[in-house]
Amino acid sequence: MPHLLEVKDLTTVFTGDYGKTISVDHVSFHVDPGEVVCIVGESGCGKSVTSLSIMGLLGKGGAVVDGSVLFDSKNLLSMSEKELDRIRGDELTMIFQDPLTSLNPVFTVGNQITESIRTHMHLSKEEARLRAIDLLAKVGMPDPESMLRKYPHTLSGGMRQRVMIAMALSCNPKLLIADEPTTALDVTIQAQIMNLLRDLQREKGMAMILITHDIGLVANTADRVLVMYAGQIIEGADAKELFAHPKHPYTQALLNTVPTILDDADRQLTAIPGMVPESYDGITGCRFADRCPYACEKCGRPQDNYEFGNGHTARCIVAHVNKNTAPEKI
Amino acid sequence: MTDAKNIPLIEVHNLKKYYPIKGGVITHTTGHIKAVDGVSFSIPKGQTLGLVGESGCGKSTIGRQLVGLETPTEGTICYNGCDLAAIKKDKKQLRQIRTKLQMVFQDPYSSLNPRKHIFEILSQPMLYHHISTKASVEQDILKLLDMVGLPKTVLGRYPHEFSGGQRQRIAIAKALSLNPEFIVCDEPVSALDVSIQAQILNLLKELQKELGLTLLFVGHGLGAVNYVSDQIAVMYLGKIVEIGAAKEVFRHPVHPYTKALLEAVPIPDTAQKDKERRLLQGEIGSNTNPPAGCRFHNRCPYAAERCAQEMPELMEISSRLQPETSANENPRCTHKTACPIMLENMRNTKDSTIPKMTQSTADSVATENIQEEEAHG
Repeated sequence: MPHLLEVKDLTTVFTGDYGKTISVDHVSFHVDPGEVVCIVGESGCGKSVTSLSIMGLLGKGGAVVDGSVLFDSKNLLSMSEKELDRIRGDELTMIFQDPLTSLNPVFTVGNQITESIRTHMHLSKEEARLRAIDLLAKVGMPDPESMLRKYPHTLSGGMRQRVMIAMALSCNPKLLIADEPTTALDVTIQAQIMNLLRDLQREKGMAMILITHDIGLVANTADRVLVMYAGQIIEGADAKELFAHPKHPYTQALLNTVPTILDDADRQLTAIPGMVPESYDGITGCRFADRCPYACEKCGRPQDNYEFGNGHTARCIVAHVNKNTAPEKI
Repeated sequence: MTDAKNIPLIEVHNLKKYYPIKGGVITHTTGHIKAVDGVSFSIPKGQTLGLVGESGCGKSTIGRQLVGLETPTEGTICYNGCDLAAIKKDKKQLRQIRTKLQMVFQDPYSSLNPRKHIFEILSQPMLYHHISTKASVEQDILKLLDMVGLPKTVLGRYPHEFSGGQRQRIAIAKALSLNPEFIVCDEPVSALDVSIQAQILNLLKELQKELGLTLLFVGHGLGAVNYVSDQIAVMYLGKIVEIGAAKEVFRHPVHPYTKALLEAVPIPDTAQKDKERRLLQGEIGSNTNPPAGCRFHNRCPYAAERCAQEMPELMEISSRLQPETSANENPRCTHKTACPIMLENMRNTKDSTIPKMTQSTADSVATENIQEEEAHG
């Protein structure tokens, strides 16, 4: 079966006053129908830019300079805006971190939901309204009919995100990209929204790319995980495999650096020293090398994406050399 | 509750903060936002109290009141046994006490003056309060920078030249510059990246140990709060619903809200993936017009009729000495909750254990029987 989404060597460059910045560097991955893929990484690692590149929403200054994005075997990058508009919001949708800025403040909720339903599904006004009510009820909005007449600013953050989800799901998409959908929300609301997304995803057999920096959320939702660092995917594996046997030192450190509510009082967090490089144009080798406890001279050369079996890949030569020893020992 | 030698550094009694809502044709007060509504706790010297709750529950307001950025509507705050409100009139003494109470803010991008370089930011308060002299201030600042792990080359630079983590280090250095005894950390890591969060949390813990600081750690990242706190208080709509030793509150939560809050936190363990969670329905209510009785009753799965009528007070759960690690330093912090229903349930099933969380890692913790004591109303 062909992949639903196949991204190959995607490279995105931003041109600003100070020259060019490569923010996504030869990123390749795929998403199968009905699968939940999580992209984790710190801010600035290129995870959001990856999703915007796929959606064709880069805006001024940003451009995809290399690679291809095949969605249902059609290359999204070579499509015209008009062709893209037919797919975006229909088969391929996205929800964003901040639901207040992604909703239009001067239109009612009903207006905004029915617009996308009418554009893509060619329904009459009344049919679209009924469908919107139906959708709002599905995402757990109390009194969906009166909700249609409300403006975004009168809703709470959780309610706004529900509206966004209702809009995104209005045309039964094949793939939903959720870019930090719960970062702006409280934990209890986050749990509600994630449960909702998971239920809807299963019910509709929809594939989902979840972009987040919350390791806990990844463990609870992902089928497959991609770890990004400084514009590259440095590790990719099945969620269970990744949490049990992380290969890349960055992934290992990332999993170790998160305090949880079940920690013992004497747990010592292992902090990752230093910080993410601001610009990585000049770095030829591994971009994590200067923070990595296992770095050696081999890390100065460009790193290949090594295979570890069962689709587990990691961009680390040290892990590759020590393949057969315990992962902690690399 | 506390031993004689363990006089709490900070003692808060029945603290309230109401913000008036103005409205009407002729502007007048039409109502109040009850940000903090009758909160009492104490923090022993050298310990950390973690304050958790959802946004809008009043946790930051408490922090701001403790350092004197807000004046309480009602209630008392005692620092080292003396009432802050009484000191207020004595400007000189107030100035002195303020050096002892410092704060680290959430957003390191807006808490440093962008027009001043780091040397100025750090030296001004020290000179003003005569902590240091013009001759020795540079030496003192270098010592501070060393403490927070920054090189001395930062002195001539401006805040915008630093990353979030470095700025937070500067903010911590600034708080430490006046030799404080008590620091309020208002979500100090929530604006930072995960890999930087651990650096700052470790730094705070080290400094606390080294300097014997007392901390109030406000945060909504429950993992981080658990990491730094000795005691934890859980807030809901301006009230503390549960308070106790960190381990007790997070391992054996009693109040339905604490349980729901902990249940909602995703745990980095793939075995949890398909676990059915008992989720809270609805959203946090408004603190302008909070529900009568227990503020949580309209979302609570255990709510009974009387929950809507009477406001429950904090009641003791057990007299067991909880902290296992630093038992000799820790005074007995009693685990208290404001839910009579759960307490009754526990009393009825005296032999059973407190409902335990079902995390795999928690399994190692032996289930212990809770000896119930009479609850003090």
